[in-house]
Amino acid sequence: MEIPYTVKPRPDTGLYNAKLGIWLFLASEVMLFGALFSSYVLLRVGAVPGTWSMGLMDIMVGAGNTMVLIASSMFIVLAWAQLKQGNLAGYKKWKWATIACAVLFLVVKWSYEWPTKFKHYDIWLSSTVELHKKLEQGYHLVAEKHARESHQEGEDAGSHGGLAKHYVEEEIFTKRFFKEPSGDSHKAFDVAWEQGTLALSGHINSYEEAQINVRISGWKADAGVSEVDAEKTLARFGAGDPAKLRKQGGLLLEKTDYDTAKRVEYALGQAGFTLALGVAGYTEKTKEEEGAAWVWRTKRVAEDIGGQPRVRSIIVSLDHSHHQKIKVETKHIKRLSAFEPKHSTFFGIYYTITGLHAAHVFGGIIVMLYNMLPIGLSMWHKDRERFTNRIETFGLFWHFVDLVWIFLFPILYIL
Amino acid sequence: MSDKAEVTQVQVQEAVGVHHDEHEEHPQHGFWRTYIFSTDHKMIGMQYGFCGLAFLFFGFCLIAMMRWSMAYDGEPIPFVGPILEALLGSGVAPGGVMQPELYNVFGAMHGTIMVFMGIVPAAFAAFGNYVVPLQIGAVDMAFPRVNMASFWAFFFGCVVMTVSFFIPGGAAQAGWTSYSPLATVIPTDGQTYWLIGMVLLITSSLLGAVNFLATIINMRAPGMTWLRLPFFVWAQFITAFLLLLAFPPLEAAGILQLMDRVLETSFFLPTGLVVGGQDVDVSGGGSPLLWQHLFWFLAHPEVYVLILPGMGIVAEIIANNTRKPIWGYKFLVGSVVVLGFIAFIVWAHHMYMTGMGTVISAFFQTTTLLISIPSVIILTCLLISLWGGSIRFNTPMLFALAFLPMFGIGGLTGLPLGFNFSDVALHDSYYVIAHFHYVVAPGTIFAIFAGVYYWFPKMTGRKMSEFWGKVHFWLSLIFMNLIFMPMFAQGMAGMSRRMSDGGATYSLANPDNADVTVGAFSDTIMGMNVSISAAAWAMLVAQVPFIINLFRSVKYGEKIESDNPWQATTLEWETPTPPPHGNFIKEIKVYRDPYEYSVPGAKKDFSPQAQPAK
Amino acid sequence: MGDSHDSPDFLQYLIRLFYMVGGVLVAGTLITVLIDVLFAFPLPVAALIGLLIALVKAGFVVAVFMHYKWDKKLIMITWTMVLTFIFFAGMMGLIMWAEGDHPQVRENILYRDELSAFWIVAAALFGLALPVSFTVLTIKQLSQPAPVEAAAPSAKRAAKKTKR
Repeated sequence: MEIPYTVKPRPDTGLYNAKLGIWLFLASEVMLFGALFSSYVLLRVGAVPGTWSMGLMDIMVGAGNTMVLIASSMFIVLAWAQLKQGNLAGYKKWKWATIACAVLFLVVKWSYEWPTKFKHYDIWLSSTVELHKKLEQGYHLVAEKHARESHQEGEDAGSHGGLAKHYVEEEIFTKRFFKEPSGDSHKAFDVAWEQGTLALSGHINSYEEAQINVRISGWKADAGVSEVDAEKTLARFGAGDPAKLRKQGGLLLEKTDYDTAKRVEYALGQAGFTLALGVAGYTEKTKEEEGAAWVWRTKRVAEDIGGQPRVRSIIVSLDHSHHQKIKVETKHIKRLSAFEPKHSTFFGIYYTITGLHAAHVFGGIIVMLYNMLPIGLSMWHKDRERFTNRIETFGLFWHFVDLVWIFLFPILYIL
Repeated sequence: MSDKAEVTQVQVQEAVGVHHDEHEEHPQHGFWRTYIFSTDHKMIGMQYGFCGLAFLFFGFCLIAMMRWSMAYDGEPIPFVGPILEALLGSGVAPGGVMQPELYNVFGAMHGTIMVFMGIVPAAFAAFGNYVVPLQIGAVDMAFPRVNMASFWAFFFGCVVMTVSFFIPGGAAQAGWTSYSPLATVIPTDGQTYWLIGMVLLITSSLLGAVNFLATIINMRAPGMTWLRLPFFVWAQFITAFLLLLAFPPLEAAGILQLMDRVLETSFFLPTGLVVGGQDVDVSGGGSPLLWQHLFWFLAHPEVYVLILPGMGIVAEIIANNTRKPIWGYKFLVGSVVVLGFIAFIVWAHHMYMTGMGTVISAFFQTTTLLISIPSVIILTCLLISLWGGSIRFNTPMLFALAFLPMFGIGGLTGLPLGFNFSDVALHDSYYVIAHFHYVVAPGTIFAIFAGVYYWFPKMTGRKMSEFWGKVHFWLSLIFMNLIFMPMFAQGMAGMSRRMSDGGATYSLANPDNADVTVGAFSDTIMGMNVSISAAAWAMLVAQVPFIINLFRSVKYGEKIESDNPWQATTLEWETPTPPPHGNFIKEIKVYRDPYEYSVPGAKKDFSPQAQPAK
Repeated sequence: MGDSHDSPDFLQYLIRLFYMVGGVLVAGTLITVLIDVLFAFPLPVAALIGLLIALVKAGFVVAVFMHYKWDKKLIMITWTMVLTFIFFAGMMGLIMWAEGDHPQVRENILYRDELSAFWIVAAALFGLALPVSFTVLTIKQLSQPAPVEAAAPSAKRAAKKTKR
């Protein structure tokens, strides 16, 4: 049995099977990305003015990546043209260039563009008064300097938060959400300022974390663990006198860190103990010391330990403030998020679309590598025309991936 | 033009002619390659068919258990109650009593299983894979390995869905429509499994659709022009287009909801969402209606995905058993194309209750009523085809004939749901359940049964028992109507579709009231819960003859004497029985239209497509 | 690609064209960035310009890189793609329309005042005319004598030949 039209096009449709198949597949891809584009547009026009954080995108990196992808798209079609001329060496040359461009695209995205965003935070406060105070603290120096340079002094310098407010509006809010000042931007800023929905935006430098005392408050015999085993478990966590601790309770660990405390709580809980965690004091840690929690979530700072927060305060260096550090008490924090997908609908759709696109690029790289390996190239030695068709078909897919990016670039980076 | 045509004719003949010599030398594969990891379209078709029928039965068992909860709320389910408790834990079925959570799980999974794992594989993938390449005279599908990948993506999707029953908290609970924010904020993992399973099932359908389209466009035998395609192939062609273009938006929506659940984004979560009295820690700014738009953009065309293959099967069987050509073949083809087109612009009639404005409601109402025109044309053509035919009342024909009035009831009762003013009253009630079950249950599922009885001889070389087939048919027909007809009354009495106790609590909370729409349900309406449930269980028993008949006939069925036991005209009966790998042992050319029955002056009452004109 | 386009000369011409189109695409990207840096258009204008440039770039990619321009016989593909874009536009447009038409959210920037009955009629006509015209065209297309006629060249075709 041989399937017809795998190499030669069928005369009345003008297509060989694979080409027909890939075009149909591309049609479905149009609908897939089309649905995501539609979601983007709907979410964007439905967004409250002043929440679409588009001004944070680095246009130059985006433009560079666009050109890298365009180059790869050109290289793959040149590789196909070389095959048409029967030149395998030329094909390999252009194909490697294509793969190099595709890899470069992903490297820029995955090792530069995304990770820098994960280190950057927005902090929303629950109190408007506190917010104004923090902004004043963070920006008054740089705002005065800015005002002197641009000769705008005196306008509303006297009023409360005047200079800092002006600076935040001009240099941060408008540039991030509107690019250019306009009536809309003034209105949106006033609302955000009055309602306290502005965020403190910057890097987390250090924080005060709780030191925890772990206290045994009791032991239940009916948990199905024998006394000996329970005491063995206690001894594993450095209890001096396990028998006494089990019977009378008492301090097990002093000034330990959160992770250890939680581990002990879980293990001893399995063994029938009830524990009380209490905060003994706070110690200042820098972000680098932490390691494990790479991206902080709101829950991470608000964690409750015996009625007190796990993190008492964080020290943030604000954007555009020449690294002016301010201290934010966690009891004022309403929400905290890095520029990760959950930050806002803009970043959500940004990571989803570019992630899906990157998955297409990644899949393309795997197929291209396959077509460079001996097992892929063996087709060339058996049936040259079929191999050429295969590269043409793959090229159609690759151009589509390029096409998607051509539309993604303006809608995600520029508009 | 004609010069070129002659050249191309030669090329086509060469290309198609190649396979005949090689057929005999085809190496025999071992057990695994033949039955499990097969690339042969017929084996894949049977794999799909087996899985599809199995899941149809499984989904039916789920609803049979749910019907107990509706009829006798709070009482342990007989026989299966202890099994449920043992399998799913005493949290959801203490002492064999179905809890509302379990009812929700079963409800959501009944819909998902029936639509995506039952009917689509059985009606579209199984019959499509088995019959379409045979009917167009192709040696196999255009991409056999993609075909296998499609089946295995489907299979793993089914595995994920099935496994999700047994994870802590059970499977998805938010209904088969999975509306956000409910689906997003449910804390159990079932919904995440559902989304992953759906992405796999969608991938499978997309691969299948590409393959079907490429096969139908590029692999037709010489002479098989577009208007000589059997109507079943046309129906499958349009179905494949619907799947190809309507499924990706749901895949996108599924990915977005997966992001919502896993990475805590808020595509479908509005600002200020409060769950259980607590603010949800999300950014907000999303649109719950976006999910509904993207979901129904698929799910309305999906309705036609479910019904079109059924129509195709019924058309084949009616033409064959009336021994006369289908009336208005071109009308049928045109209607099915128009149907496929309008199917994409009607989806928001599922959303009249979301507070849309009057203009957009009027738009969707108009398109919704427009789409009934081609449906009626198809039904009318099939009805007129019966006129003056010498009808053979064998089992497949009985099912095909029952399809017509049953689908008619389902279609006509859809009209009040298409008008936005009457939909306001009927929305989300049992009326809706009755309406769409009339379309898909006695509609599509009867067509599937008809197809099984009709093509079984081609697959195995034996016929299924006519007697037990007729027993199966009459019992199914009676109980099917006993199940769904009372639901119209229940729906119009105002019974909501998602109550695990069949409305008892609601009825107690709303004692007799002058206004019937908010008052308690009458005893008649409540009593229907019991009668419907009894009919459903009887329906379950009525499937036993079919199951036994199916398996028994593989070995002991009546052997057929010729390759063409029904004296049919289409190409699948030109092959040996069962068809070997590569299908045709003689060269296939097509000379005729698909349904040339009782041609005046012909020797026999059927002239196969491959029989040369004089 | 038809066989007539496999000649070495044509391939050389194609390769030159590929380089040129690559240049056009890079230029398009630079122009987009430059416009963004130099001018401050209001969003609708900027969106129009940006998407127009992207469309032009996309046109070049499809026509030349995907050598659609030389694939004469892709009737099925053309139909599929045209349909796909109609459905995509329908999806986006109707979703936007539906979401802009919620009476209770009049501040919604998508909101427009109630349209007149004219639009309802127009929508109905659109809904009917588009699929019907499409179907008529398709049936017409399909009813043409197929190039692959299995039977020996029929008398009909011979007659046609002589007519021409």
